[in-house]
Amino acid sequence: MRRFVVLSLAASASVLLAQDAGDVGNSAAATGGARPPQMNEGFVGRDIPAFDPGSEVVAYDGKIWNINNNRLFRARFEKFLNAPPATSDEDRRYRETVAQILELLTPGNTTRDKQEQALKLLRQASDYPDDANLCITLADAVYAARTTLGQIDRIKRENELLEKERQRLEWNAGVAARNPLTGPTPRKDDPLAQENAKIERDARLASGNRQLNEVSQTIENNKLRIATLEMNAKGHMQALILQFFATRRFQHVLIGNRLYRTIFTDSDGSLDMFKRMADALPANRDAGQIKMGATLDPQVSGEAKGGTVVGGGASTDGGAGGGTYFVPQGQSFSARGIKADIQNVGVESLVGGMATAAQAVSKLINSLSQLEGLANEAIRDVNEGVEAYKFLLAQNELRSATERLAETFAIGEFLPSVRLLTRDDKRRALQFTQLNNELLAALEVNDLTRAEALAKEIQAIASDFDASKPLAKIETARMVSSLHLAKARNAAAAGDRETMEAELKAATAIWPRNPALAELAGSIFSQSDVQQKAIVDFEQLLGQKNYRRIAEDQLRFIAATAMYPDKQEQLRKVLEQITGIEAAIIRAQEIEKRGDAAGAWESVERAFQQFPDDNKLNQVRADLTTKAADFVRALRQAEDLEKRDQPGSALAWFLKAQRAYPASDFAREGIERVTVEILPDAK
Amino acid sequence: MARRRKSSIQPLWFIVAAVLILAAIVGARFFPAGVSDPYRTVPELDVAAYLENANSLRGNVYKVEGEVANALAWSPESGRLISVDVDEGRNTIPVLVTPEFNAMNIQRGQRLIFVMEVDERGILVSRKVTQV
Repeated sequence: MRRFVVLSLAASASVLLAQDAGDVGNSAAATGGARPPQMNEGFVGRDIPAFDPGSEVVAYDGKIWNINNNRLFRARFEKFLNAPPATSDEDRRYRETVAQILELLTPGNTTRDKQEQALKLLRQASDYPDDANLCITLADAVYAARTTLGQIDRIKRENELLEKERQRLEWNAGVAARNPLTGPTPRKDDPLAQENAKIERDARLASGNRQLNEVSQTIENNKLRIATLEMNAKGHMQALILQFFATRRFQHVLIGNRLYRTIFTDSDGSLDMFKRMADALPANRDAGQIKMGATLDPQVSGEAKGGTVVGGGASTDGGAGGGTYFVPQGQSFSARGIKADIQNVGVESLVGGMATAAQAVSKLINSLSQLEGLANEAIRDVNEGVEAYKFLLAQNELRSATERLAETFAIGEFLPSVRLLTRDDKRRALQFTQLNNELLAALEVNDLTRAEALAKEIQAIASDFDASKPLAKIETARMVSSLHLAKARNAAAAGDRETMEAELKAATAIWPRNPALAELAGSIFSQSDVQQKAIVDFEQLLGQKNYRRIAEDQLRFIAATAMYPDKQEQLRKVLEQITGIEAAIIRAQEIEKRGDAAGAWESVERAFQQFPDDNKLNQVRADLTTKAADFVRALRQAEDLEKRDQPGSALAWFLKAQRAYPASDFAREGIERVTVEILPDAK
Repeated sequence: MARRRKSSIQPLWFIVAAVLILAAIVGARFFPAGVSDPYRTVPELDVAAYLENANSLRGNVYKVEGEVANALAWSPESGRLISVDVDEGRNTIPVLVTPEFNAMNIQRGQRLIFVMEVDERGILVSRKVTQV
């Protein structure tokens, strides 16, 4: 069984439908410009890859891509440009062999001997690596077709014999019906005798009639079998030729086509078999997950009750078998040709597209002659493309030259004119292609500096290279990037971190390797580092309650906390405290200058209660405590006794302190406090 | 010529006279007081001990003489809380003059003798008040 895979048709469709795809890509008129080209259905729908020569894009399943600008093609093209020319003895002999085969099979000039010679050369050509064993495949197909035709001839001869047998049986039956062989002729007035004679005659005719029916049935069965075998042979050859075309093996298309004509001499060369197969494919565009497969495997079999078999077959070793056995019970016959099946296993769009592609191809190509014409046209176009490439190269128009070579390569990758191009011929195109690819890569990653350098370099070596488009993009991107950087700089200065980050991100997206971006980012990051260190220091000092250190470095912390409102508030409170402490110290120093040590101490003590961790305040307080020792001792004692719930003694000490420093707020407050405790209902 | 006669007053007399004068002074000083202090049997308040730890004196009754320094607070129910300078003004102690002495005028500068009890919180609560 051979399964015909229609995958290759998808590829061929892109070439075959170039003209139609042009309509797909330029359908503004059809749609009034309301839809993009890839959205248009086209007459074969969107399931077929369609090539738009205007924009050099292929559209498939609603997606488009440039045939020259995609990684896969670029890689293959570069590989070709780097490959040595096919000028070895082996390559030369292969080309000569193929040319010789084509010459031997030239229509009007071929003979049976030449055909046999061509078949031998096919097997030789298959020895060369460039052929990829395609010639031997073709030779095998020819052999199989010939074997099938031989089998058909034998069945035809058998039918001739059967026809003679049928005529003989018919004559015998006629004779038997007219002339009774035994007994007297019954009298006409004896009905019983008449009836007996009729029964005897029918009995005589029964055997002959049965044989006649069997022979007739066998003849009809053989005719059907002939048709099936012929369908099989033609279908395989046609499929193989189409496969050559799809894989751009145009010389093999010509060879196969010419061999087909020599084999099927009575054929009109129509691709009827292929059409029937394609039409049988259940391509359902609206279906969801459907996978379709098509099998072209014509089979003939017969079976009969009682063991009688009518059948035949061809073997690959050249033998053919077949025979007819007459059996009294009769026989049945079946023939199967095309089988299509559906598997619900996904990849629906691809398989559906392939099925539709096969149908579309069957609409476009009606005969092998048409296919041969297309192959010849492709060969001519490729040869012309190579000449055009060489001419453009001489004119230093590398862009056009490279494009022509890429197009030529895409179509005629296996044709001699392409494969014979020397490395020197391809080197400049290679250089241009590499630079062009680098330019594309640089533009893809927005490396504008590199892209600009490449654009200028390409312009220097290719006079027809239009650098205005990449340079315009580069300049535009530079301008936009600069605008974003300016905004980022302003945002950083204003402490707007969110806007700064957004603008830096936008500038980075446009031009990641912008030197100005690096410079600004470095500046911001450096500033950010200082700022972050200051923030860390601030938090650390805040945790230690070292407010004086914060106040001493307040300028740094004010700048650092500019973008942190919460820390700004903390810093404000710290500075307010330090200001209060300093004011208390200054006030105490002034009071002390008047000789009022107790008053000075009290001023400092008030600040100390709020800020007990300030070292400077502590030092001043300690000094003043010594100077106002009695007063301080009285207060301390009073407070201590107050805490020990001895209001009498506490009050006595507060009174003592007040006596020592009558203006004391602490003493007054203590007296009031304890008084209230002693006389809660005092007025 | 006649020789002047020496004084006949002997130094002993001067000594006797001085002793007598001193005794008179001392007697004038102490005798009236001892005679006028109605709380001679009540011990004096040890102000230093009171200042150091009033709890140790709780429940005891003392007397103290001092000058009213200030009126700190007044409660109809509890009386008047005043401060009294004692020990020649070296210390000041609070005294709660209970309402039973409301009829008595107490004002700054008065010198009073207080008989006081140290209550459970160390507060000096007057039992008797006498103007000096």
